Amino acid sequence: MVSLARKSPEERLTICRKYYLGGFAFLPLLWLINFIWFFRQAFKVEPYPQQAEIRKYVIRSAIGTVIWCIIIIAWNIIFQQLRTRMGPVGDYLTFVVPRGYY
Amino acid sequence: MHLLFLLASLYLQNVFVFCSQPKRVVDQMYISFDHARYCVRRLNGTHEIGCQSAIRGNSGRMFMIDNDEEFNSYLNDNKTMNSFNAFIIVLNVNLFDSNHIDRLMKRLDTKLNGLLLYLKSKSARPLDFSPDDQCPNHRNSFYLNQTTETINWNRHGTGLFFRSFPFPIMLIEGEDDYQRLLKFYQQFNNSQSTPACGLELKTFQSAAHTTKTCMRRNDISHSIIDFQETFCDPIGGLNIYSKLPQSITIVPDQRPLKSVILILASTDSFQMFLETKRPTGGSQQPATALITFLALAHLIGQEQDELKKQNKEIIFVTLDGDAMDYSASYKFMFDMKNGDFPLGNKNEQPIETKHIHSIIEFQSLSMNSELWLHSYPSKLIDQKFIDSLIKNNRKINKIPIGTPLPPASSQIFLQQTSSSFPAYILASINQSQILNHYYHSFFDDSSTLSINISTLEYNTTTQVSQWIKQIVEPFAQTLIEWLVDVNKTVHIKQEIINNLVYCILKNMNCPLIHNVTNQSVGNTFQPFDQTSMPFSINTYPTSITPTFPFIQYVLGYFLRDRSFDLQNLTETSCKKRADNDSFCSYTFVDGYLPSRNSNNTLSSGYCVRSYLRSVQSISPAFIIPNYDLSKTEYPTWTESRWTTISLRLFLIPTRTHEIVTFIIGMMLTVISFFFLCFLRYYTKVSLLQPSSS
Repeated sequence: MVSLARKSPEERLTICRKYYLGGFAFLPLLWLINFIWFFRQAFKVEPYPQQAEIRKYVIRSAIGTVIWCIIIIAWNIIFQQLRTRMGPVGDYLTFVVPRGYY
Repeated sequence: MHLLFLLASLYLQNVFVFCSQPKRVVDQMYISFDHARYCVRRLNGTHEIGCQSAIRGNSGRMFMIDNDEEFNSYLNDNKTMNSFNAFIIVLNVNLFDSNHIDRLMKRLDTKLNGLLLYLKSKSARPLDFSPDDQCPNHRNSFYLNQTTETINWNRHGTGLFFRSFPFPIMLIEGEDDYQRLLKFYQQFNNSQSTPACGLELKTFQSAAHTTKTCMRRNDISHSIIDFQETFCDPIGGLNIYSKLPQSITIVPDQRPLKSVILILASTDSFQMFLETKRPTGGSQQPATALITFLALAHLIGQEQDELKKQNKEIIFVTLDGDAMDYSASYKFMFDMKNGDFPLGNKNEQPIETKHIHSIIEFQSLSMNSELWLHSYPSKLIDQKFIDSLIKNNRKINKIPIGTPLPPASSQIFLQQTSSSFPAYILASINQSQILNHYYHSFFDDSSTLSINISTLEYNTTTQVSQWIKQIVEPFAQTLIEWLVDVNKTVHIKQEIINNLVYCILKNMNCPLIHNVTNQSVGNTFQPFDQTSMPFSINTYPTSITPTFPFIQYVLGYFLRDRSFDLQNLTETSCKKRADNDSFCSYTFVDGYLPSRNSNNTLSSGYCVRSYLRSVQSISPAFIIPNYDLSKTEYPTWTESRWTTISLRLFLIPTRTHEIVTFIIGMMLTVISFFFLCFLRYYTKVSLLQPSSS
């Protein structure tokens, strides 16, 4: 990973925006990386003009990550609880079909 | 110097390894029992039956119960009950009935982790043992929605085969296995202070829930994983049929109405406890009936010139799968209704219900002094046939009109055709019960027919082979009288029945099969050496049994066109015939001497022309596209797959022993740490870094 300190502020903003927009393609990990990577740039370093926008993207990425986490965990719980009750759908959604158990 | 020391120690180590006998720790921890029978999982549209263990096996403290007294005292023994969390109960097979099992399951609840049944010795077998229902196949009987009173034909049936157990059940039948188990049990089970015996039962099954779920899962495959896993297979084998090749009706000839007589026998049975490549039981049901059926086929083949004088066709049919809700009969009727009977050549006139004159079935024959002829429906039965059968064979009794039919394939033939032809069932079943005390269990072996299987030779005349001769000769005579109206005494050579008894009850890889097939087919029987009585639940073609090729070739040979034998064809011209004729099959054989006409000159081989068809007998439920498997219109039995089966004995150490071992282990770890630190601190040699010396 490139050190952000060596990039110019414009370049930093472009990268951050690309990661933020990329996350909308159902890629929550991209948002998570964006948040962790630009966290220092957004909140901890000396202020610079592009920082406000970077901060916006970082916060939005964090929110997106949280929403995704909730969705994934909720689906996980629902699937585990209701798999057998879903009947055929449950089986078709299962990747490794359990042997010997319903 | 260091290097020398290192080499010397390496050498010593090698010497030590070679001198000591290599033994794996696991071999010293467990004692396995290799010949244990086990119960497996089977499914139908709505339920699962049978038993299974967890994937790593079920284990627990072994507790042996031999009789009723011990059973009661065990159930009241709170101290033992609370001392362990899991028990494997070792139970005398005589106590394996619903009453005892229910009490055990209720008292132990989740602590019951498995059941091991034992048979003390061959002579200690129970007087009655049948895990089938009291009214076998009641789920799909002819009387299902009728108000006829139900008869408990199998009065001693426990119904345990059709129950689902949450734990594994296994059975040891060898006397030496029992003695070994008893020795360890007595050695270690005397007091609470010594270690106790533990057992581990492993019978994990792949299928679960219902046939519908299982068959659906069989079809699911993910493209990322290459292989597709199969969890269960539909139950069924082959329905085989044969007749005299002279009686083929080819289009545009019309088949006259009421001109086909079907003779039925089944080729399967079931047992709750099985073991692959070991005897399965099934002597009285279905083997005796099958031998009688084949002997009758021989007599019909022998008297073919006589039978030419009339216009009825006699078709011999074997059904496989009828032990489980008659699925083979359903398939047979399904084929017939769809115009697929007989299968094969489209130019052959299909046989429909209206063409059937009557059906005759051989069921569950038990070598008793009496036999019974069941018949239905009363308005269609031919009294002339019954009277002449009873006149020719005094053993046979008539069942009073109005008595329901016993469990038999005919029930489905009648049910599916609204009883449009008469059915005659010859069985060792009187008007209220089956005379076989071991109906559908592995105890139904050749000893119940007074045969000592170890001394049985290929041509030994046994009581049962004489008995079959006494049944089959009058039967063939009656058929000829009935159809041709000629009084003729027929004879079958005793040798033929002796050979059939040997082949079917002891070893299908017998001279008979090699005489009636060519060498390449004969060779396929070699691996089946000494696997007697393969009458179990079949999942053809996943599981292979020698029964089907045996019946096909023997039946085809017995019903061959005898005039064709004399044509003296060579092997190549026989093969050419086979390629050009799609109605009959041609096999070049060495010949089975007792079955040849006496005026035949011996030749090195001859071409046999026979009529033979076979079709898979899985229930129509698996054939009809998009059939809802949870419906009960057709039977939907499947059998689970399994991989490992094992039964092992081990010792459970006492609590103190366990704690001491744990502490010693911990201490060793700590000491070795200190020792290593010490070595590192004081030695300069390091294997990881280049030596400084």
